[in-house]
Parts: sequence; C-alpha cells; structure tokens
Amino acid sequence: MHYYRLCLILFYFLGQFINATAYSQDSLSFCHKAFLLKSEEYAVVDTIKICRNADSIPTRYMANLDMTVCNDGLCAKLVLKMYWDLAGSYMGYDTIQGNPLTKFDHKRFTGGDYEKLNKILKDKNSILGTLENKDLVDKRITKKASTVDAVTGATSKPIKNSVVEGAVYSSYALWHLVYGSVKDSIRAYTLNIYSKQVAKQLLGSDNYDSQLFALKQMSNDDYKTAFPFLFQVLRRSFPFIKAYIISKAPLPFTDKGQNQKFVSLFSELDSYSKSVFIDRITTEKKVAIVFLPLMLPQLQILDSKQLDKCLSAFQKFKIPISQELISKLKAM
Amino acid sequence: MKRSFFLFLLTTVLFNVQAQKNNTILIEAESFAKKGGWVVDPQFVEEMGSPYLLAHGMGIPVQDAETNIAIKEAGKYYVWVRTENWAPGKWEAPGRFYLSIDGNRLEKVLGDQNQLGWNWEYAGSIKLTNGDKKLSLQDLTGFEGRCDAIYLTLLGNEKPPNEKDVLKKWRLQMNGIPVTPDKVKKYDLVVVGGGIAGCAASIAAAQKGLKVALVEDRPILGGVASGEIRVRTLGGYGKFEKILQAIVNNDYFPNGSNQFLVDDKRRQQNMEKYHNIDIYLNFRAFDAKTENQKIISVDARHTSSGELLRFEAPLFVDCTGDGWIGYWAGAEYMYGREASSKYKEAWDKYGPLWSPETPDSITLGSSIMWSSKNAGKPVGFPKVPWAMEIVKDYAASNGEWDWEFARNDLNQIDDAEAIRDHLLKAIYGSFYNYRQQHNADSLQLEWVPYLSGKRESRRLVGDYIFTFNDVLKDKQFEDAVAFESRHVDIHYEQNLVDTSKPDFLSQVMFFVRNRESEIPYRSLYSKNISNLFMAGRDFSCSHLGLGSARQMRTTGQMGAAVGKAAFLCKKYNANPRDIYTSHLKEYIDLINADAY
Repeated sequence: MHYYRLCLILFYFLGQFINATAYSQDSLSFCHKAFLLKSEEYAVVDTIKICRNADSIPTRYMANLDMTVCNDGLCAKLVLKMYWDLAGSYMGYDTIQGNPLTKFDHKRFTGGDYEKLNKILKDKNSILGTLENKDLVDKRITKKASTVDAVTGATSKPIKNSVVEGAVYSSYALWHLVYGSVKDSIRAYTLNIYSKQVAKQLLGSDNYDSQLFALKQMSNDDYKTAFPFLFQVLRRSFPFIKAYIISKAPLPFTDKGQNQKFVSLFSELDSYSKSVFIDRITTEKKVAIVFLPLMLPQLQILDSKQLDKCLSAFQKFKIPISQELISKLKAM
Repeated sequence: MKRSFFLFLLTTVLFNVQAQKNNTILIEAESFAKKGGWVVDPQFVEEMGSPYLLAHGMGIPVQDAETNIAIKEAGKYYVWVRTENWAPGKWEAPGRFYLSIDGNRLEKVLGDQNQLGWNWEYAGSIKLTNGDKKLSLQDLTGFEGRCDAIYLTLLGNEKPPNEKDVLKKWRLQMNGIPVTPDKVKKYDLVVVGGGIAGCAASIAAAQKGLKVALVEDRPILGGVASGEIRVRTLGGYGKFEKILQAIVNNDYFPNGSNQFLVDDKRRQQNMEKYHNIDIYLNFRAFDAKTENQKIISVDARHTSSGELLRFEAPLFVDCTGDGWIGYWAGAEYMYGREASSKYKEAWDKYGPLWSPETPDSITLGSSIMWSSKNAGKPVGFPKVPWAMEIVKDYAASNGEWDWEFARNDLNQIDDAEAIRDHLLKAIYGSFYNYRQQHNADSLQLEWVPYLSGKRESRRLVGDYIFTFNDVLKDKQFEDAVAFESRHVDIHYEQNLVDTSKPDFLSQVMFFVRNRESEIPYRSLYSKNISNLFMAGRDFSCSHLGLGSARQMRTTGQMGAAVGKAAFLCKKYNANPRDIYTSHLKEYIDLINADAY
C-alpha cells in the first residue's frame, strides 16, 4: 500500500488532535457516513464519511472512491481513499491494496507519479480548473495503445506540469472531484456539527483556506473572547491570515495587557501585516489614542511610510508626542 | 511620423538643456548629447521630478555619457549632482559613478549617499576657464547608477533645493523654460499613450478621417507589448480584428522573445501608413488644462531635449495606463480593491484573496520579465549584497509574467520607482544565486528591461463601472463595444500564503466565464470630464472588472471603439456621452459595418 498524503496532515494531527498511527491505519471504526458523493460524469456514488478521534471530536472526512475515467476508448479505474479536512480542503489520498493506479497502456504508477499526483491535488490554483476535457490532449499527435485497440492524443504542452504523464484524464478527474461540489457539501456538513473544538482545530490548521473558513464563522463577540488563542494562531500563520486577524481584532481590548501584547507583535510581522496593523491603529480615534502611545518605543523601527502614517495620526488625534522625538525620528 | 524621427534627431543633436546664468549652470542629464550606454528613464517624472539617465548595464559598467557645456565666467565652480542610491545599506552602493569635467575626474564617487531617495550630492569643486568643456558620466557598476541633473555654481557651496515643489519651480527658473508651451498643435483628436489601446484608437479615428496626434513617452510604440517590455497580447479581437492585427502579431512567440522587436517595426510601419496620424515619440504629457470640466489642451515635454508642446483638440483619449490625463483634468478615479460587497464581487473559493471585506489599496502588480543565456565561456557577475535581503537563497535563470510585485503600502504610481527597483534587486539577486548554486559561470544576463510592465493603477470613473458582477451575471449591454472570453485573471503575491516564497512572485486565480463578456461604451468616457475618453487599463472598472478585461487585445478593442466614437463626436459636434444618449444606433451600426 502506498501512503502519499500531505506532510501537514501528520504535522497537524501529531501534536494535539489525533494519534497519527490510528490515522495512518485508517481506523474505520471512528468514521461513519456523512453524506453521499455523487458525480454523474464519472458514475460515482460514494459515501463521504466523517471521522472522529477517541474523544469523538470530528477530525476529517474520507471517502473510498471507485470511479472509472474513460476517454478515446481507454479507461482507467481509480480505486483509492481520499481525505479532506473539516473545511473541505484536500489533505491527501491513499491507495488500496491490490488496486494500484495506472497510466496509459495500463502501466502502473511509479513512486514519482504518486508524489506528483499528490502535488497536483494540493494545487488549488491548478490550470486544470480552467480547462475542459477536450483541452487536455493534443490530438494532432497521437499514440496507440498496445493492449487495446485505441488511440489517444499526446498531453497538451501547457499542462504537462499539471498532470501525471500518461494519466492526464485521471489527474483531471481527481482534481475536479477534489475541488468540485464536495468541498461545499463538506463545509455545509461541518457547519451543522460546528463546535469550539472544530473551530480550534481549523484555526490550528496549516491550510490558510481552512483557517479562513473558521475565522469567517466567528462573530465580533467570538473575536473578543477568543483573542488570547488568536494571538497564538496569528503568530504561526501565513501573512494573509495574520493580516485578516489583525483587521478583525476588537481594538482596543478591554484588557490592557492584551493591548500591550498586541503592540509587541508588531516587530514579528511581515511587511503586509505590518501595513494592515499600522492602518488599524491610525484610522480610528478610540484605537489610536490607546495604541499610538504604546507604539512610541517602536517608532524607530518603522519605515518612512509607516512613520508618516503614525505621526499624522498623533497630530490628527492630538496625542502627545515630543517635537524632539519627531525630529529625531525624521532624521533617522 | 517621419516628423517624429526628425524631431528626435533634431532634439538629440541640437538641444542640451543647459540653463546658464553667468555664474551658475544647470544641466539636465537626460539632455546629454551622447548618452553612451546610459538610457533615459522617464517613468518616474511625476514622482521624482524629471527624466534621468540610468546606467542599465545588467552588472557591466556602461559606456560614458558625454555632453559639452559652455563656461562663460572662469572661476572655481562648486559641483552638485542629483542622484539616488537605490539600495542604501551596509555595502557599496550598487549604482556608483564618477563625473568628469574637462577631462578631470571629480574625486567623489557619486550615487552612494547612505539614504533612500533622490538628493543632491556634492561632487567637489573645480577651477574652469572660459570656453566649451566636456562633461562625462563614468559608470562604475552597470547596476542602475542614476543621474538627474548637474549643477555648477560660482556662488558658494550651497546645496540646491530638493523638496519636490520647490525643486520644480527652481528648475523652471534655472532652465528659463516657460510654464506654458509656446508651440501649439491642433488636432481633431489627441491620444496620449502609444500602447495597444492608444495605437488602436488612433487608427480607428484616422480611418474615419480625423486628424490625430498620438503622444508617447517612449521611442517606440506598443507599451507593454513593445520590445521594451515584451508581454504577449491576449484577449479577443472583438469587432476590430483588422485594426488590432495591424499593431500586434505576437501569437507565435513567447513572452520575452526577441521577436517583439520585429513586431515593433511592423507596428511602426503600419502606423505610419496613416498620414493623418502624427506620432510624437519621446514626448511625455505633464498637464491637462481644463475649463468647465472640459479639457482644452494637454502639455507634453520631450524626454531628452525638454522641448514643450501644447496639444489642443475638442476630444482627448487617455491611454496613459495611469490615467494621468484624467487625473490632471480632475476626473474622478478609483484605486485599489473595492470591498466585495460594493459590487457583489465575492468569490468564496478565494475569499479575501479575491476581494476584501473592506476596501484596501492592493492592486495587481508590476512585472519585469527577464532572461539569461550561455555565453559559451566563463563570464563574471559581481556579488550583489544589496539584493540578498529580498531574494535570500532564491535562485533563477529567467523570469516570466509571475515575477510581479505589489504591496498594499506601495502605490503603483507614487512608489513606482521603488517597485521597479525591488524587481531589479529580485532579478540580480536570484541570478547571482543561480550562478552560485549551479556553478553556472558561463551564464550571463541576456535581457532585463528597466521599464516596469504595469497591470493596474488609477481607473477613471465613467458613466458605467464595469465589474466582475457583470461577468458573473453574463450581463449584456446595448452599448457593448468590446468583448472578452478569456478567464478573469487576478493575482496575489505567493508569499501571502507561503512564506517560503519570496515576495516578488505572484499566483494567478482564474475564473472561467460562462460566456463572452461584454464591455459597454459607457465605461470608456469620463463621468465628469465632458470630452475625455479612456481606453486601456485606466478604463472605468472595478479592480476585479479590470481583471476581467485587462488583456491587451481587449484594451485594444476599447481603443478602437473610442476612435470610432470620436468620429461621430466630430460629425455631430458632440461629446462622448452624447454618442450613447443620442447616436447609439448609428455608433453600433458603424462598428458592425466596419467589423472585420
């Protein structure tokens, strides 16, 4: 059996949420039917199962897929397990013993092919999303199968990096299955069982899309109560998520310690998040009067644009700052 | 158009913008009679005050630039040079050079001020006798040394002004240049910006008999599709295939190909066939005079000689990309990303990467594509410590469209030079790393443009704002004049969601349309400036609307559409809006009748 799943899955589950061994052994005892996955195009009617850990907390979705992809008279059977997280983000796939994936002319996938397929399925922005079946091969260049009486075209040049060579239609079908309606269905199901534990799990994900899904479920009050935890999330997230959390932060916090903690984040931020941070603390008076004085020790590390914005806000909101410091900062 | 070459020659040979009172001399660097290997960079005039000379040698020092000045009063001159250290830090500045006067090199290395931004650098003093003296700029690095102006004075060692507005006035005063151009050119239509949209607008109007001025600040036409930037024109031909095929023919080669140079010649030849189009190359517009919300004239300055021209016409087309004509005229404009709720443009698949919950100042980025080649023998390439903070260990031997830079705190107009320089650092640093990591000591840079290929900046507001929602709803317009079927194409910086990636690579998000989208005529003229058309990336659209219609063939359709509309404006002595309100059927019939 091959195991080609995202490193992040292990990373994700290892630490806090689930026993990695149980996952890799795919203990079905913790998984039960969630809903049916239907695809008329590939005659797929498979069950999407939701899996829970020993504490009955939902952890992921999985499906045993059995689909057949045919084109140009050539068919490939795809029997495999597919995994999604609770926000419907692709996590990985697994083959099933005795059912290797095959390419053109029934050649078996190599190790590299399995890895490439995983990489393809991870790529949410793949060019495959913009193409139709007919765009996949260049029919002007044909090749004949030796095992059956069929001819197919050569892989279209622009997509060579986006498919497993010799398994173009399979790559395409699986990508569209992963990023098709199943994602919305999973999200809808998750919202029905949504809980703090689910939210925490998604916020702790390394997948920005899943984090964003969880952040979008939060009300303004949730942001207030959850911010101590969000500080941790913010520190370990990508700039896009950092900036999103900063833009949603309920400023100023009622807890002065949190205000100080928020300011101390600044030096750790990337340039994008820094810019969002500066905008947040210089736009509204009630925020500026709390945060700009706290920023005084950090003004010297601001770039010229950030400094200009802060100094303008000091002036606009009549927040005390010494002329001597202004001159010193400008000279720097 | 032959006139344009004549003007170019004339200005190059005869003019040298040298303002001289007996005891002070100001020389604009871009007016040097012999540029050597230095190039005139006019991209950032509005930002830093002037075109300037750039030593763009891709790491190999360029040939000296030279000019003569006449000294009328002998004495000890104090010499100041306006320069910029574009990467200050704990290293030798990348763009260093010397100034020599009358064969004597001033000791001070220039371009190495330890501060960011343009400033006057004191080069030293020199005793000069009366008579002609040769000035020369000697590049030391090939890494974008830059010289804006040289000032010699007998009056004591006082630094010239540097604050933007003060400097502008001082320059005019020193150069004795009138604020108002005394040469006036009159046309039926003035098109500013010679990219694909501008060329198409000019041809469409000229075909209908209008006398057209096409004003372009580069020595060639084509804009982002020219051999200077080399981006292929995607999108559809709509109803203007014949016009567009006369000015673009790049289906058969990739981005960055040398074949773009061939296409430049073909475009120029085809444009010159229209004897009622006067092409003013190397003229950069700098002002638009308006009365009662109507543009009366546009002023332009030659990027080397400084010659001023005023263009008067009843109608103007803003194809500048940055919407400069509209901006100067007081046209309403937009910048950055609208909140997703404003035009109902949200797409859950990408959330705020696609459109934000609240407006922000993110735009599509600017690109510099580049290439390298095997020299067949070991060649050197210097260390570039000033680039390493940006590239870290990232290595590359060429760059495509996805070498793109935008940041929410950098404005594509006000910070355009910083954006261009960031991309240059990315290129030089990544290339240095590639040579090191792959022991590629025979690899040399082949092509690195110094012009940024911009995707987005100001968008002027028209009677209609085209949005992504129009695409989502497959909206059809009675005044549809341009058509787009390619996917909506929006980008974000990769490192927003993957910090292992550098900040100069972008990721595309494609939205596949259900059907061909229609772009209405009402998004091609200004809402509040009565005689202003716009075509190109500054047309009236939301950020995502631009992503839906920004391909250059599509913007070319826009240009051709306004060219046709200009004809009807002349016929009926009407404004652009009147064509929609009173002559729409005739206008659409005209486009359909001429469709090819």
